Amino acid sequence: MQAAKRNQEYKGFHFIGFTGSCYLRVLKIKFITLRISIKYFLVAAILQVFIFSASGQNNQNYITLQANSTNFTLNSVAALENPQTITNAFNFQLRSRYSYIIYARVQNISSSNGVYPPASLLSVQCNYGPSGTDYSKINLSSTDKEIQSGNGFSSSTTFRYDLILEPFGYNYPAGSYYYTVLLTMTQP
Amino acid sequence: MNRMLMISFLFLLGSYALKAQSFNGSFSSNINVGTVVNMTLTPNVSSNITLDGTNLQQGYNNSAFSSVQVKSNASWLLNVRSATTYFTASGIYASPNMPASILSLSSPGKQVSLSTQDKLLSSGTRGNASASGNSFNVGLIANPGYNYGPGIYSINIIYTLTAQ
Repeated sequence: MQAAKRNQEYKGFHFIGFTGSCYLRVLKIKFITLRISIKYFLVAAILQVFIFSASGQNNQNYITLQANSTNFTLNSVAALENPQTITNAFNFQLRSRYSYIIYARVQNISSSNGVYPPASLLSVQCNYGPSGTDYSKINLSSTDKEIQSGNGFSSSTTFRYDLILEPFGYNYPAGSYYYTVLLTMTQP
Repeated sequence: MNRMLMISFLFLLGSYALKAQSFNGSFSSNINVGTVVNMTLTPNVSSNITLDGTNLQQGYNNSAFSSVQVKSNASWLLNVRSATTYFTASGIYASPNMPASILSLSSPGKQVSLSTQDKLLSSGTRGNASASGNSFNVGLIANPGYNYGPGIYSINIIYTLTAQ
């Protein structure tokens, strides 16, 4: 979760840098043609602070991810040949003033033995959500796949998900495989 | 007027910045996999065989006596041995000293005579039963000759599959 938080903060700051440069450019033009007083800079500075505080997650737009149990142990023929499901593996609280889309993808795969199974071995399926929730099973890949979308909520809303490991089979040797799953909420 | 335009423009930028955002979070899933080997031995014919005069003279040979299917996530070895040194004999004329070595098992390209020591019958690489080399027939060769009396003889054969 710490890593997730750093990502969020990084994304917010990156965006601020972009809008800041836009302001400077706009202000420069105005300064030359209209001889704007120092008051413009004050207005711009106030707005800059306003935007800075709003571009990261805030109390009206956020996604908080909580992983409960997301590890699999495969030690038998049945475990290798059948899908393994962890119920309520993770959940997220979502609040969005605007329409939103939630994407999921496998961001990284590492292993203890140098063999890398495909991202498609993992699927997610929502088992709890508000009205209009998509409850279909979504097979993940290394690119973003939409898992939810909606028009926004005025209050925090919880989605609970099962994590599914598709039949692992016999093509990958014994060892430990580490999948990192990234969830992204966008407000298009 | 210009001042109002300027402020409106900045507010417009601000509201755009507020809306076009993305937030993210991640979690890790660890998949811990143990070594799993599995074998299915299926008899293709009855394991009770009757040896006639021709069999005593030439030996009995059935190259598809049984079938083996291996599923393994590691390279594997299949060893065979007899449970006892001699057959269990019954009948008035049966000989108590017929050794396990009158039996041999075969796999494609290999044949081993039985004893109480493990002998390698086959080996392969990881994969399910459809992987190359993971499904094959096991043959039985019995060649007692004329050295043992008529009777009913039985012996247990033990197959052991291990991961390399």
